[in-house]
Amino acid sequence: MPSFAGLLTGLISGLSFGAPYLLYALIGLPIIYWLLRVTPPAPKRIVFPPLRLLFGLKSSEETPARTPWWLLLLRLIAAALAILALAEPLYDPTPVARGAGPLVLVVDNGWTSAAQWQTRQAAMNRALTGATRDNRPVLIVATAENAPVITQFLDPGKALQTVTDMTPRRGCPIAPRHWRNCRP
Amino acid sequence: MVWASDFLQPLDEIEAHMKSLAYSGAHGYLVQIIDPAEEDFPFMGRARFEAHTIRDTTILGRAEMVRTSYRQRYDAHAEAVKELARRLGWVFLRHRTDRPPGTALIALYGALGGARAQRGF
Repeated sequence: MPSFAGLLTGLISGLSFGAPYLLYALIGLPIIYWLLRVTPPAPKRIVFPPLRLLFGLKSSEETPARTPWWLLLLRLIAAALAILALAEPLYDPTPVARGAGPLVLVVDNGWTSAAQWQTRQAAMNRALTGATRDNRPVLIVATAENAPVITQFLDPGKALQTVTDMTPRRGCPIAPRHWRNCRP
Repeated sequence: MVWASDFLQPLDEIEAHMKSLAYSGAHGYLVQIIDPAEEDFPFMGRARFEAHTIRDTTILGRAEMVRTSYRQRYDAHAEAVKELARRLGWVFLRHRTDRPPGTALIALYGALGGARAQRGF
C-alpha cells in the first residue's frame, strides 16, 4: 500500500503546467497582500438625515478599520488559485514520454504481440495524447518487418490514425513447408 | 396647530417658521419624531453618511468614535428647539419610532385636552 508521502509525490510528479511562465505571477502575491492591507474596505453607505450634525466631526482615530485577516487570507488564496488555474495545470499520473522534442515510438508489432495488442495500442494512444498536447512531431518505428519500417515525422493527429490502423503482423503457420511462402 | 417633524432642519429655519406661525395666531404643538438610529448613533467602522436633501457626504473612519460628540450635538439641537417652543408657550413632545405610537398620541391628546380645559372649551 503506497504511503501518503508516496501518493503526494506521485501527484506532484504527475502535475505539469501548460503555461508555466504564468507561475511567475505568484511573485506578485506580496504586492496584492500589501495593496489589500493598505486600501481600507469600502465604506458602508448610511442614509442619515441629520447629516448636518455630523459635519465637522472627526473620528479622532482616522486610520480606517483594517481588512480582517481572514478576508485577507481568503483573497490571497483566491488570487493564488486564479494564477495556478491560468497556468493550465494538467494532471497526468502516467508519465509517458515527457519531453519537448520529437516523440519516437518503437513498436514491436510481431505476431507475438497480438495477444496484448489492445494494451499496446492503449499505451501508444496515451503517449500520443501527451504529444498532441505539446504538439510534438511523432516518429513510429515498427520492428517486426524484414527491415524496420520507419514513418516520416507525423503530426500527432496523423500518428494517432496510424496507431489505430496498425495491426500486428500475422504469424506463419507452424508447419515448415509453408514457410517458403510466408514473409512475416 | 400640530407640527410633527424630525426637527433636524437648521435652527434658524425652524425659528423663522415657528415665528411666522405664531404671528398668524396659531398655538403650536410640536411632536418631534425620532428615528432611534438618529438618536443613539449605533454605527461602527468605516461609513459614508449621506442624506437625500444634502449633496455633501461625510466619511468617518471609525463611526463609533464620534458617537459621544454627535449625541451632544443632537441633544443640544433638540434642546434648542424645545427652548424655542417654550418661549412661545408651545408644547414640545418627543416620540421615538421604536416605542408604540399610542404613547405619543395619548401625550398629545392630553396636551391638547389640557389646553382646551385651560381655555375653558
